[in-house]
Amino acid sequence: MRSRLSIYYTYGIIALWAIACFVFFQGFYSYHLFYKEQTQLFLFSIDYLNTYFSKPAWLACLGGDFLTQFFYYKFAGAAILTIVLLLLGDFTRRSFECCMCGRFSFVIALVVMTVEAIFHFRADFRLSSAVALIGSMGLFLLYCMILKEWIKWGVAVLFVILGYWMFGYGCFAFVLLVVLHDIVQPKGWIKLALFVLAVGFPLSMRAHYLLTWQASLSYPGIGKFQKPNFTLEKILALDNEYYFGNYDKVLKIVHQSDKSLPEVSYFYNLVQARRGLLPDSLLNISQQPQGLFMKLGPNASMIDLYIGGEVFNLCGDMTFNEHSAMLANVFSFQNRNARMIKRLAEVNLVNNDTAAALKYLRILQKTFVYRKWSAIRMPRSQTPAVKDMLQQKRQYINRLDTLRNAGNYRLVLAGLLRSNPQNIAALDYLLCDDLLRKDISSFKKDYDAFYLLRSKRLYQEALLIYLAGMKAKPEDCAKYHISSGLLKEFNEYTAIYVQAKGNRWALRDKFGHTYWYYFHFINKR
Amino acid sequence: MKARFYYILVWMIAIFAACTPQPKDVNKVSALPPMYPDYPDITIPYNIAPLNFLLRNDADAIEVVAQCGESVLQVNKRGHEICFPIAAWKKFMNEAKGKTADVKVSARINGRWVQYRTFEWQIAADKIDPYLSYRLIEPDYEVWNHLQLIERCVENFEEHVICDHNLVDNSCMNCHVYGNQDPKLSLFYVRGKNGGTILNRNGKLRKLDIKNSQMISAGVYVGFHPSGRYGVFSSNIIIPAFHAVDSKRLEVYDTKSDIFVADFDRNTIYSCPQLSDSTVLETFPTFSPDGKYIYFCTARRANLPKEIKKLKYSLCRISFNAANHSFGTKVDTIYNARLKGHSVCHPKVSPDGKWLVYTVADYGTFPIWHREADLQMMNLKTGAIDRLATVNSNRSDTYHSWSSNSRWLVFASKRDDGLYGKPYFCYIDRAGKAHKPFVLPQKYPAFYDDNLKSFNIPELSKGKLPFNAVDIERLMKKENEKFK
Repeated sequence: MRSRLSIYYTYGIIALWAIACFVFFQGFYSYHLFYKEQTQLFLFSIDYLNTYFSKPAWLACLGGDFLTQFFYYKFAGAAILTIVLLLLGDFTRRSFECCMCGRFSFVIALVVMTVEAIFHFRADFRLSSAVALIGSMGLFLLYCMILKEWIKWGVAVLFVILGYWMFGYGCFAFVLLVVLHDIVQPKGWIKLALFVLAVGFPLSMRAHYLLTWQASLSYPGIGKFQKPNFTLEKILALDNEYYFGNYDKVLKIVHQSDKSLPEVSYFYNLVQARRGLLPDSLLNISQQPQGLFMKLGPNASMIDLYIGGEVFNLCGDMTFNEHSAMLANVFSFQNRNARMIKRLAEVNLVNNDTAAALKYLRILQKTFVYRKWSAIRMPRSQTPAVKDMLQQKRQYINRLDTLRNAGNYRLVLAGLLRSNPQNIAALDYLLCDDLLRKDISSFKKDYDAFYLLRSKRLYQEALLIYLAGMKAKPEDCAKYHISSGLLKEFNEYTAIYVQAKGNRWALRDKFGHTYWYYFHFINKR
Repeated sequence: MKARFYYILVWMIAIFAACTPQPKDVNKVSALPPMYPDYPDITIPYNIAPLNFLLRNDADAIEVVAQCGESVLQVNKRGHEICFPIAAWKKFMNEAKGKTADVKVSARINGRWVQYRTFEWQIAADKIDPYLSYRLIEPDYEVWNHLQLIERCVENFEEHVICDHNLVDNSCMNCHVYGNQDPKLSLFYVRGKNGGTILNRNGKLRKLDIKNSQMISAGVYVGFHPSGRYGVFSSNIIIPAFHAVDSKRLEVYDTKSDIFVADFDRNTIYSCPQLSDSTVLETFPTFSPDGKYIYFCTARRANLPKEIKKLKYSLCRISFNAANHSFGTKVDTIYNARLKGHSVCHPKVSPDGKWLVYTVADYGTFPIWHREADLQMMNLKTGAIDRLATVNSNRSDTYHSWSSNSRWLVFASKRDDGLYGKPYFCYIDRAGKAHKPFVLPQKYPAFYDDNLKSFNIPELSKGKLPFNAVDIERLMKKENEKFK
């Protein structure tokens, strides 16, 4: 009766653990899992699969990456991760039961599963690590089935070598279990020899696999403890929802997020620019003083590289769109990133560079997840919706060649506007970027060069600053169609500013959302 | 027992043969097979690795029959890819050496066999140097991650890593070049904290800091003196910038550049006013095969990037005396950019001294993204220029290197997709006629489809390098040898 109860308890605890794991990763961490999928690219091609043999742990990496590709689908990421961790727990329990640790095996299994789950808090931690442990424990369970002692030790040596080849650092788990299993047996030197082999073999293969000694002993990667990174989860949520066109959801997440994060304002601005409302909403949330763009380059964080191209995609600059996709691709796992390969295909389709587009579409055709996406974009099989989308994007591409360095976004946007003055997103990004950087003279220049007669209060407020600085006459204000009401407000602001000797609190309530207030008090340098 | 074994073996072979599709009721068409890589009607060296290929159609079975006199190489495969057995390929190539083989490709598409127009492979008796080195890098070039320098045997599919990102702290590494196509004389750069110029001379590795106070940067483009004692380097201030329109993408230009010669015996740097004029940009230096001249490219400084289209490099040469490391006083202009209207890059003289091949582009010093960039070949005796129409494509065809017998060229071409550079080989026969080039064959025909790296600076060599990536890892821990 007692034993049946303990079985029920065991299953109950496992079920609770599995539910907790699934709920956490699905409900609170699903964007991390999606990110893991997006920053790799698994191909069903012999040539690609063959690359797994260039490093140890080929089977663990292959298995892990194969499963990770399904993280693309809703609920699949959390479900797969939970199943893999349960499998890991089961193999751990069975292995430790074989080691005569039956009493503790369940607890040990729970600890191993939980630790491995914690390792998955990191966005760059791969599933292959868990597969490596499962595989090596599988080898150990096979080893336990051998009864003849002289065969056993021979097999143990073989399994250390095989274990490293197939499961990398998992071979240490195998040796540890063997030692525990045969702890009562007298031949201590054999166990020592196994340990030496488990360390010596990876080190001897270092030149073959081209790994540092640390990497050779820990391949495919041992995790690190860290707290769940909910800030990154928010950023990934913004990115994901923006990517799938759920703009209302993006705004909802923005309002629930720490608005001082540059990535939060970045996505907020993208959504507002897409809706033509960037100047209307620019000052509604905290903005970055350096402007509207992510700083891209070799020193940028992976997440900034990953999201930084969206603005060029929106404004229509295909060169920087391609460049940023290439950057994110280069810094992804194995220099392959599913989303960026899609982006590269699309950029070249927009540019009518069929040969280049085919390069990426052919790669995507070898995936399980993106095969259909690629098929409807193949030059002769494009659906009307794809053709429309491409046509729409082509309207905005740059047609005038200029030479720009990677940080000169003003030149990028000006070029786009010269090619197509109707490119409202580019226009708003150009003007708002000037304003955030408080570069009023550049704003005035850009305004005069590109502005179409849209009545945007933000721009008129900024113009008033310029005109006041230039001591302009009232007829100059009329030239810019500045309403008398706004002029009156500006005069009132100036009067209070002077009267309060620049005290922001005197102006905040009434003028807190004006550009004048931003200019004087926010993001002071 | 033995009899039973043979009985089973015969049956297995019979079953396997029956499973291999054989053409029947073949419909002949006049079109060439839609094969990738583009291997019809090419000239290949007899020692090249099998030219595995795939068909870009719905073929589910293929038969290839290559015939040269009595020699036949036949392969039947399921699927749309053909991989030749290497032993049979080698045998066939040796028998067909110096002759022309007819290649017949048949494919089964939707259950019906189609036989395409027969094409030719001219199998040159002139051997290509068996090793090729290159850097694998994403075509953006501005940034890097996980770089490798690779040495590949072109006679088979073996490759080994010369320098690996894992072992050099993910530092940038620049292109590996040989002197006299000799594996015991080569050089490359590893940048970054512990970086330096890695010199492999007579199989001995050294890490050098080739820079003195007069130089504006460490070495960039490099060429060896035939003696191996000297290297000629350019030092450049390089600025990357992006084109706004789609096709050119990246432009790289120099705001300053000079040329100097480094003496590897005395760790000394030499230069002369003609090669380090501050009003002029000098770059892409290379020695003539006899070591008596330095060929280089030069342009007047322009207001960059505004006047980038006015930046056109001429090809010049200056004499060099290795005995006393002195330079001539006169600079000869071999190709005048002002008169010809193009800009020259990457000059290299053939080892027999007869030909000078270089890249021409409309402007600038970085032709990799210039669609119009083409190779040209100058007869150094007559000055006649061959525009190499059979070699060039409508995408960038640039950086080349010679085989030691002067019969083969390897160059980087973006002809397939406009993005990823691949090494193409081209035969130059004894009369100086260039033949249609072909891409480096790969074990898996779909390799280039899946690959996301460019083959940068392909260089041929007569043998295998005497060091590997772990040797470089060890060398990186040593101090640099200083130059004065």
